[in-house]
Amino acid sequence: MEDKVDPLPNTGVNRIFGLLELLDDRGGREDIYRLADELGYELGELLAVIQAAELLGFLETPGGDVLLLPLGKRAIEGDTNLKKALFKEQLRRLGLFRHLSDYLQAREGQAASREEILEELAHLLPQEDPEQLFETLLNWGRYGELFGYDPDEDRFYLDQLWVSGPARPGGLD
Amino acid sequence: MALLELERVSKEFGPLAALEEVSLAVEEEEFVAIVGPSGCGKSTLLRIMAGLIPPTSGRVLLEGRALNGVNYETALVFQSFALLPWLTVQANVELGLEARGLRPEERRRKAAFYIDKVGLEGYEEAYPRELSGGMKQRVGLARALAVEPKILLMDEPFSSLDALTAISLRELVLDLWADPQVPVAACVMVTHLIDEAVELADRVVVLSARPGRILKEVRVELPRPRDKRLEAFNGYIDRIFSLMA
Repeated sequence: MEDKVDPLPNTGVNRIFGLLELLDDRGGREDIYRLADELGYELGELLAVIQAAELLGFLETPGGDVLLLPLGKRAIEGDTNLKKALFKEQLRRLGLFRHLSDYLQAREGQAASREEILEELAHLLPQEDPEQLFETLLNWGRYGELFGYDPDEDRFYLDQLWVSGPARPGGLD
Repeated sequence: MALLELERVSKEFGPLAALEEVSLAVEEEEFVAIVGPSGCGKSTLLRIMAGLIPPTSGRVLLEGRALNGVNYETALVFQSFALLPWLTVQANVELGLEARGLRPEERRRKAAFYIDKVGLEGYEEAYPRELSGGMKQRVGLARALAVEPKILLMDEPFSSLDALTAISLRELVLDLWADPQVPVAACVMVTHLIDEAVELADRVVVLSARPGRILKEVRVELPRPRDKRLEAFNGYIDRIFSLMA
């Protein structure tokens, strides 16, 4: 069965972890509007960070609040390597990452050009801006050490072999 | 003996007095923050510590010996990242090592170690144009740490970053500070944000408006990680703010 492929909210890794830290400082729960006001963010900008963290299973949004989940708490309490490991584990669950892993594994050298990835993204998610999606995909993929991109060689590749079957439900031990 | 000591340091730029009789000792295992109003000479003070500019009068002592010229026991992290856009992340981090004469293999090994420490493994071949501000500052940190300075100097390292990214980078700096594999003995950070100084530093040095003089030094006696909801945390902020006001 084909995975459900959701777009990635256009935001960066540092902002995602920054939001988790901020929530933890507030006792794990905060009102979305209050956060946007206090941070000086446009609401849409903050929502992208919240959606990204929710997609990765680090928080949830009951009512108008943002609630830090145990996985998010574990990520911010861990060192850099644990943060990266948890991020990677969560990325492996996302349809878009799984699809592109399959796509690259089927290719010779398990790599593609930027243009080929943009075409694939446009085909998969025609409503999204493929350039922006590529940027986010690469930022998250590099942090999770799943995808790499060599701009000199124009080569987007699987950073290491990772099984495209279902990730273990319990996540990392 | 202090790791780094300023003795009655003054600095004038032509008719402009930037610093006046600043005496300050930085001890081993100490994280010092320097706060003060805009234009009070905070960044000038940091550059004098790095030996990039000489004081007009007074002395800088490194482990008891007078400093003449560049202080090779320090490395600077800049507000504006100061990365070379035509070099990859790996090459930017190796840059300071090349200047210190390390062999290519050793440069690669050290750069890889600190790239890993700042969470940039996977970004080695990226160029600065591909990176967000937060990731650029991670490169800036890795480049500074790679030369294994005794004293890490940071000049408003988070002030070019948006609020959430700055939170994330402050946590990274605290992780690195606590990491026994990172051999930095002391850290001096210039900031205009009092809460940032109280969150990170063991001691906050408060400078006056230009010419910068030391008004007071406040020791922050709170265990890390510091809970910003505590009354004591806000007490330090109020105290420092009242000194600056």
